[in-house]
Amino acid sequence: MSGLASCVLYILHAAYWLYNAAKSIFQQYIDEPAPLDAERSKLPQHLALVLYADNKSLDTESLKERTLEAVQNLVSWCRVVGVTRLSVYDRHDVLAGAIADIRDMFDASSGDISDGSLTDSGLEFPPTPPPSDGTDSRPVSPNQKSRKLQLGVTTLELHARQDRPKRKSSTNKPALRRRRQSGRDADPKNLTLHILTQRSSKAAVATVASSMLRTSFARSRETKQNEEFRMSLEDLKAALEGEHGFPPPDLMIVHSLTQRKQYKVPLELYGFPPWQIRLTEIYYDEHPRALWPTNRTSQNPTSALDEIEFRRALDIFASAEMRLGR
Amino acid sequence: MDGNRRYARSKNKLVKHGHSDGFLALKRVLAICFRLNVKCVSTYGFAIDNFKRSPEEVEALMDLIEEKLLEICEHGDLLEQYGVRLNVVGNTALFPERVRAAAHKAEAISRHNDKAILNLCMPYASSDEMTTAVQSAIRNGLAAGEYRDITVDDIDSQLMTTLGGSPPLDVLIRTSGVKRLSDFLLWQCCENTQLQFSPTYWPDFGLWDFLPMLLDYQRKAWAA
Repeated sequence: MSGLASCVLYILHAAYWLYNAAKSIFQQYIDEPAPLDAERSKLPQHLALVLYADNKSLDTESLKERTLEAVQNLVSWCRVVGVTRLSVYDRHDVLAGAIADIRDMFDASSGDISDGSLTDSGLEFPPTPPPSDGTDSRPVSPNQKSRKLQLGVTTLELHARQDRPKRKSSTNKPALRRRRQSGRDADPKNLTLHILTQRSSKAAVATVASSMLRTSFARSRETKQNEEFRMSLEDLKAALEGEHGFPPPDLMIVHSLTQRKQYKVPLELYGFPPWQIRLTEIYYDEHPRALWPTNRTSQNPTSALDEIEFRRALDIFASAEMRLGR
Repeated sequence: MDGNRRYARSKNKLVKHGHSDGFLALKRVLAICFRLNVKCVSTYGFAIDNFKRSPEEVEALMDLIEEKLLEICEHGDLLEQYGVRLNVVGNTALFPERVRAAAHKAEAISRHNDKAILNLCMPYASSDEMTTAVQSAIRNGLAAGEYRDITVDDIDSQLMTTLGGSPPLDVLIRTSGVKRLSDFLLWQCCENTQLQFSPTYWPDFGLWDFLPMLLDYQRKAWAA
C-alpha cells in the first residue's frame, strides 16, 4: 500500500476511534429502559444468554464465579418477568463443569425448590459426561433405539415454591385461600434451564449425523437393500430441538464477563449452536461502559450482567417486527 | 439486503422499484468490495420463506431475478473486470424453469474466473443448506462401506458455500435495523465472524455505512 494510502487509513482509524470513544462516554445519558415488571407488548418465552471473556486476565475460579452469578441473577429476573425457558451458553465451557454448583444454587435458596415428589421426576437429565479426546464412536449396538443422543445439553427444571399439599389452611381469609389455590393450578415461576456447551454447537449436528449414519448402516445390513439415503429438515429439527437438545430461543443476549478494553467491540456469537438461531432476536451492546478515566488495567468488575441490560433487551424485543419472510 | 419494501414505502415508490433500487445498491457495494480485494461476497437474494409472499410480488421478484441474471450474461462487466466467479447457492429446484435456466447460463459465463467469488444465495435457507450438507455427509459415509463417525469438518465440507469454494466468513452485514439472522449462513457465522447490524435500508446502503465495518474488521485482524 502506498504511503499516502496508509496515512489516510490511519487517519480514518483515529477518527473512528474518537467517534466510538464519544459514543461510549455518552452512552450513560441515554434513556433508562422500562422497569422489570412493566407491561410489554411482547415477551420472549425462551431467552438465551451467551457469555464470553475476551481477555485472559481472569483465572478459572473467578470466571466460574461470575458465570454462576450471571445465571443466578438471570433466573430471578426471568421469574419476575415471566420467561419460562432459559438457555445459557458460555464460550469456555465453565458451566459444563459447574452443574452440581448450579443444582445447589437453586436447591439451596428457599423458594426455589419444589416440595417432595414433584422435582426430579425424570424431566432432568444427568449431566453430560466430559467430552473425551477421541471420537464418539462405539460399536454398533443391536438395539439402536436405546442409545441416548449426547448433544452437550443439560436440562434442569427449576421449580418455584409450591404449597405443601398436606398443610391445613389455618386462615379464614377467603382471599388468601383463593391465592393459594391459583398457585397450585398455574406455575408461573417454573423455569426450564438449558446449559449449553461447545459440544451442543456444531458438534451436536455431527453427533446427530453419526447417529443417523449408524442407523442407516444397521438398516441396510438387515434389509440388504441399498436405497439412496434421504432425510428431511424435520428429521434434523426433531433431533436437535427435541428432548436431548433445546428449542430455538426468541431473544439472545450476548454479554462479556470481563471489562472490555476497546471502545467498540463488534458482535460475535462465540460458537453458539447454529441450528437454533435462525429467528432469534439478538441483543448486544457494542459500546462498553466508558472507561473513564481510561484505565485499561482496571480489574473492576463492572462487567457483571446487570438488570438494565436485561430490561433494555426486553424493550427492544417488544418493539421488533417479525415478518418471517413475508 | 433487507429493507427494499420499507425504503419504497418511505419514498412513495412501488415495491418493485424498491427491489430494483436494491439491485443498484448491490452493484455499488460489490464494486467497492472487489476493488478492496475482498475474495468472496455472499448475498441473500431470495429466501425460501419469501415464497410465502403474495403471488404478485413473488412473480415480480422472479421476473427481476431472471432479468438480472440474463443482464449479467449480456454485460458481465463487473464480473469480468474483477475476475469474479458467480455461484447461485440454494435449492434451485424450487425456482421456475426460466429462472433456473438463467442461473445456469450466468454461472457458465463466469466459470473461468478465479480471482473472487460472488455467491447469490437464492432460494436459500441455512436450515435447508445444513440439512442438505448432513444428508450428503451421510451418503458419503454410506458409500465408504465401513462406519466412521461424521465430524464437523465432514459437514462443513458439504455446505453449498464450501462446495462453491468459499473461504470462512469474516463479516456478516444485515441492513434495515433488524437484528436477526433469518436463516442466513447460520453455520458459517456462529463462530469467528463479526455481525454488523446497520439501521440503513438496503437501497440507501453505501460507502459511509460500510466503512466502519471495514475498520472494525481491520482492527480485529491487526489485533490477532
